[in-house]
Amino acid sequence: MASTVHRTNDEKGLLHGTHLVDGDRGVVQYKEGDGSWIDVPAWAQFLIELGYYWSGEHARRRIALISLPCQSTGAGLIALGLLRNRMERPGADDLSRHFNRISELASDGDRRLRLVHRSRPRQRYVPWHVDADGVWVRQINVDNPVSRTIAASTAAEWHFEAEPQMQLAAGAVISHRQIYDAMIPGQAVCLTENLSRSDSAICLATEVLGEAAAQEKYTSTFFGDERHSVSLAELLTVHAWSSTVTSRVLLWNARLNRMDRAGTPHVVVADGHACFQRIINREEFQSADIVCVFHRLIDRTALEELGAKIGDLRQWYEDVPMAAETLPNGISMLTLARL
Amino acid sequence: MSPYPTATETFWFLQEHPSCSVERYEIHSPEFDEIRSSVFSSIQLLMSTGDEASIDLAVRLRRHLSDWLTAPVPIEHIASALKDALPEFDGDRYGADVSMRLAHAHAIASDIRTHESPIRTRLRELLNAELNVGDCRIFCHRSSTQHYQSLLLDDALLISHHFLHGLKDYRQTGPFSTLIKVGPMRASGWGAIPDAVFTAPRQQAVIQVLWSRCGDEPGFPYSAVPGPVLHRPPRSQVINWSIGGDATAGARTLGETPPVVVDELQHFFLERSREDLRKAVLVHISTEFGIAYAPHATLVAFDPGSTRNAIREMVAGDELHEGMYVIRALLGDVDLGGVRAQHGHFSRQWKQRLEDEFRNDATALIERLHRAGLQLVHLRSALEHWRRPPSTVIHAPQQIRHFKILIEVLGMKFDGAAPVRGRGEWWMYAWNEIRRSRGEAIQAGFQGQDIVNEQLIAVLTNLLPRIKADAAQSHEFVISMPATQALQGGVHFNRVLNIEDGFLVPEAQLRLIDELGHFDQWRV
Repeated sequence: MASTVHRTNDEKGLLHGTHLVDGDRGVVQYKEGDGSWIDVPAWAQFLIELGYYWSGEHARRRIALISLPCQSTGAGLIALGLLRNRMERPGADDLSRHFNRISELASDGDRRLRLVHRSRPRQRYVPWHVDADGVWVRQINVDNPVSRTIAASTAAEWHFEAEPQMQLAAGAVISHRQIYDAMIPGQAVCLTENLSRSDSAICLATEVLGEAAAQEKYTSTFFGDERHSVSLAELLTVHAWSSTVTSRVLLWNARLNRMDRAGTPHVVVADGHACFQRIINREEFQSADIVCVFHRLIDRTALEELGAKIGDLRQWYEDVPMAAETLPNGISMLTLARL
Repeated sequence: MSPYPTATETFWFLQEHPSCSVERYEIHSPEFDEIRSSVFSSIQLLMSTGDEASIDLAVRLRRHLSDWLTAPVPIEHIASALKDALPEFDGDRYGADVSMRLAHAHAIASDIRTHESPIRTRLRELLNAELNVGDCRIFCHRSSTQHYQSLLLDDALLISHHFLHGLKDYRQTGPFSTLIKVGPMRASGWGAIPDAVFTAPRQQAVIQVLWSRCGDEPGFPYSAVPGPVLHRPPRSQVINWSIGGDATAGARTLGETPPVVVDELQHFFLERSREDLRKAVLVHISTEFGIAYAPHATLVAFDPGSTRNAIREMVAGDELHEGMYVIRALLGDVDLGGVRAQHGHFSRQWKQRLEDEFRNDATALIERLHRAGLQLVHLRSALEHWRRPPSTVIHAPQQIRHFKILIEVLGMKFDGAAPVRGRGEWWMYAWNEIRRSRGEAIQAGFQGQDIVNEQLIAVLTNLLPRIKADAAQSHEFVISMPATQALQGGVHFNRVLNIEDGFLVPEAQLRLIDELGHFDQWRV
């Protein structure tokens, strides 16, 4: 059934929200804090769609700065749109990268990271060596350690301790599928296999206040309706915030300058100007697109520092023209692409 | 519940009010021009002397003039401030030229003091209209609030809800109808206002009332990313105000030196920017006192809401929040060899003597202090201030030289029976007590501060249940270090009531407790 978008006025008759009507996908509404359920407001829908249509695989690295008139969950909404896009792409997961990572650790003799098998959650293994039979892992902390082999086809059954699982057990998928599906009107639905697998192409970098503050912020915005509501934190599937054991968003804690797991993201969404300044020159993000969301209620010094950074970047980047009229009132955006 | 408006509320507001209107009332008064010109030139002369007392007066006048240009100060207050600036003794103390200029300014202000300032007249009309129809806010210095409240017959009509004092207040406020601002639109210096007033407006309209020759800052507002224009060009109205009569005639007679055409606020800002000042946030630890920290400085603090690492080092401008406790350890001077005192020991003695002398004959005391070299402009009010009993800090002169004079004039010294008490004189002990109360690190050099902090955190973490219990009872308390610990002394806990940014302070002033009013001179 084709999706149709029905635009309704809010109760004040001022705001054009997006109210998706689709027999299969249902209706997604939006709520901030203790507020009422409303149609997804235009500004939030704009940011979700900005993420959705961004795509992190351009020939040239891009940097976007999105300026908002208030503090918001804007960075999380863009990350959600990016995540939603990956959900409908075949092969958008970490499976092959995961097996390669285990193989490399075994080849290098690096035994610092521990592996866990889905069906034996109490046992710990370390990568041991590689031979013609595959990658060997060896049990630790027991008197008679057992060695096992991991093949590309079975790698998804293993995950690194304290990291998300690569794939849920057969048949299980991330919850809230109807919300993901309904989020982007008229586009393809999520692939079932992606709903059950981890992915690390998208990274959300927190404000400099750190992870706890970010979680609190993203836990106060909800999608769904009166009967079934899900927080933005849950929808983002950040490993430490989500009830599911897989994760499709990496988290960079800008307070500690630390990622929640290994990964090489295609796109990093920076929450705030200070976070942007911290990550823009980091080695691990040099090939990733950077999308920074900041609000304009910051002091002049911070604004000028940001302006100076943009000036610096313009030595190697050029402006990507865009139609300002497509932006909701109060949002401004600058996109730069590497020369 | 979050104090902030939700993002959707903000976007709703901007949808309904795509751009903010600006009404600008510029008031031109030859009398006020004459006053400000005389005061400004006096400041320049005083600053050029290099003399400590002259610079002291210049700083005070600079603060007054900045206030007059950015708040509806009654003319009576202007006259009174100018009278106070005139030396009580030794009329040419600051030079004949300065005395003449200040006397000239004072004469004009005195002549027109019975008339209401045109800024106040205009603001009263505007405020009454706004309070009747909408929800207005006033952006001003905290210390200027009284001048707005006194505009209305019922000063209770303007409550804290109506006042915004900085970016943080503006960020937290929900949409409203009109923002009122006295003075120019500037991002820096006295009377600064956030760029966000125009780039992320919360109001439908701005009303700006200002004296003539107070230019808005070029390039205000600033946007890092070019964005939508959210404000319309101002509709300006120039109001000429002159009371005529004797005062105008007097001004003409005295106005042989025509008013200098200069933007004083811009000048002061540039002057300050050449000084060796550091960016700072001001942490309010009571309604009276605060401590300035460099925004990226770390300090040991206690977070009562945290279940893990409740006592830890935090970055002042990032991680410290209202409701947490600043921890100040006054440690280690036991090993410094003598000059030490417990909080309030010496101050109680010299304050009692000061109290007695002041009550007995305040004028004679002031004269004696003046002759001894303590030539502060507001010496009488300073003495009244220093008489106050010790609290969070010991109220006392800011400078060691002034304190020494005060103690010598009061005749405080160790009696003959106790000459072996220490190596120093009485005033040195008393001064150290004051330094300690202000938080000066007199243990500096005793141990590296990082090691002290590390040990301090470890010791205090073991005392956490007691600290939590004390914090539940009081905004301010002291924990004594256990006798078994290498570090000895008292650890002061002060609850953070408010954190303000936008200060440039001298390096030496960082981390010291001082009165909130004293920090106003470093506000940018």
